Amino acid sequence: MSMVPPRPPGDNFILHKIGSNLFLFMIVLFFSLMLRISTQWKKTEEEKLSAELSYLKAQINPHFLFNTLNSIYSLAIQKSDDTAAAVVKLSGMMRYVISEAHKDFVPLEKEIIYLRSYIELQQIRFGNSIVLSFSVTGNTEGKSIAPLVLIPFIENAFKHGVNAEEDSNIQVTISIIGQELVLSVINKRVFVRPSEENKSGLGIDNTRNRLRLLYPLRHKLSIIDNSDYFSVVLELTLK
Amino acid sequence: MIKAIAIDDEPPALNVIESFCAKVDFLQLEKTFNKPNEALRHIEKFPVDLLFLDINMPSITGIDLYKSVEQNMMVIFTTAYSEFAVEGFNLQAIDYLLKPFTFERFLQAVNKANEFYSHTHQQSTAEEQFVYIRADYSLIKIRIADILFVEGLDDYLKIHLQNQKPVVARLTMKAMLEKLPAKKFARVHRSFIIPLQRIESVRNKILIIAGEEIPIGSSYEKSFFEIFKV
Repeated sequence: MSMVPPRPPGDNFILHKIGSNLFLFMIVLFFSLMLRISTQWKKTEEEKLSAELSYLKAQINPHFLFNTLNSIYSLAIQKSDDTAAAVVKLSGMMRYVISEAHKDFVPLEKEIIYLRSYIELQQIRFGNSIVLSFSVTGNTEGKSIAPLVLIPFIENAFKHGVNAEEDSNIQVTISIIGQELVLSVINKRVFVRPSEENKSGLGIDNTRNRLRLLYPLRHKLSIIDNSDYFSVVLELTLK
Repeated sequence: MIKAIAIDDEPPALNVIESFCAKVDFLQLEKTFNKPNEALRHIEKFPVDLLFLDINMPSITGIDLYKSVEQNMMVIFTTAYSEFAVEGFNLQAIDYLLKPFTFERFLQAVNKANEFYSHTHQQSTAEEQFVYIRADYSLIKIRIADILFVEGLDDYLKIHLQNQKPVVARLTMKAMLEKLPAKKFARVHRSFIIPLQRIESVRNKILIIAGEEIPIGSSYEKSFFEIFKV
């Protein structure tokens, strides 16, 4: 009987060791990849959510809705001839938000009518105390735009540009040349007491995200905010 | 009659209140303001009984505006928002109207104001009509409207009355002045308290009341002429 010589410990032991280290390495690599994918996924999800939020916020603001209804009520009590037209403007805005705004793209014409109604109803609310101009140049036909991407900038101008104690001046111009749309909103800055709903920037930041998602590399947004005036210029390449 | 003003930064909202007030006979809407600061300056000079106050305005909230009003006034808050209601009631608001509101709802609110007004008003007129003075071991009821002037004499004072004998009471001038309505009486001299509405003429620091000459003391001169602006 011969003794089975003990196996030299070398080969197998080293192989074993390498194997277990490799295994550990793979696990670490796997988890770090998972982590990276999940944060990336979270980030896109957050961006989507914020874009969704900005879209929701762009819909008719309850403060605007009820005060506008009260203005129309006031016209009705005075039996003013302007009552009927104001009702039609507000119902047009509501119809747009309910039946068009969930679409990815809408005719540019409809978005502009929405903006015009908003501005004209604001004029009824604040009367002649605000100097307001709104102009559209160029051809809107056959062009489409993501719904409610322009309104936050105009709402912002009213939020920071209207205070009955001071003179207001708000100028909105839209010009369309070929597929290029340029929206310019300038308002004289007035004092507005700080409050939750007036927290500056929030609405615009959300819209900025939405533009990034909807018009990647096809928009340019420049904002000038100084003590005298607030100016927004948005350039969009339409589809 | 309840005197009121309305404050809202949106003119159409003021038009609603204006047309509703015109239909209520016990309400007199004196003025409306879309600039809250202008309203505050006005109230200081010309106090009213009731404020219609919008809560959400860009320069100041109606709540802060009401807190800064020093005079005692009733307030009805109006707003298109609802989350301010609780704080509105903490401030003892008469009511809280959500815009747009009907005339019936408005009437309900101003009726509440009217009840509150007549309740507090009755009390104050009853309180102000008489003053009780301890004299000659008894408590004497004196009609405030009958007082010509009060004359101080060392430890006593003499209350001169219209068509009645003067009442002599052991009372200090300071204690007497505190018993009388502050808006209607003034101390014009170390020894004289006078009802402002009985002043017949003022000349060279001498007042005439019921034919009597009453001197104005040099240390009372400034405060007297502040009240009695000519």
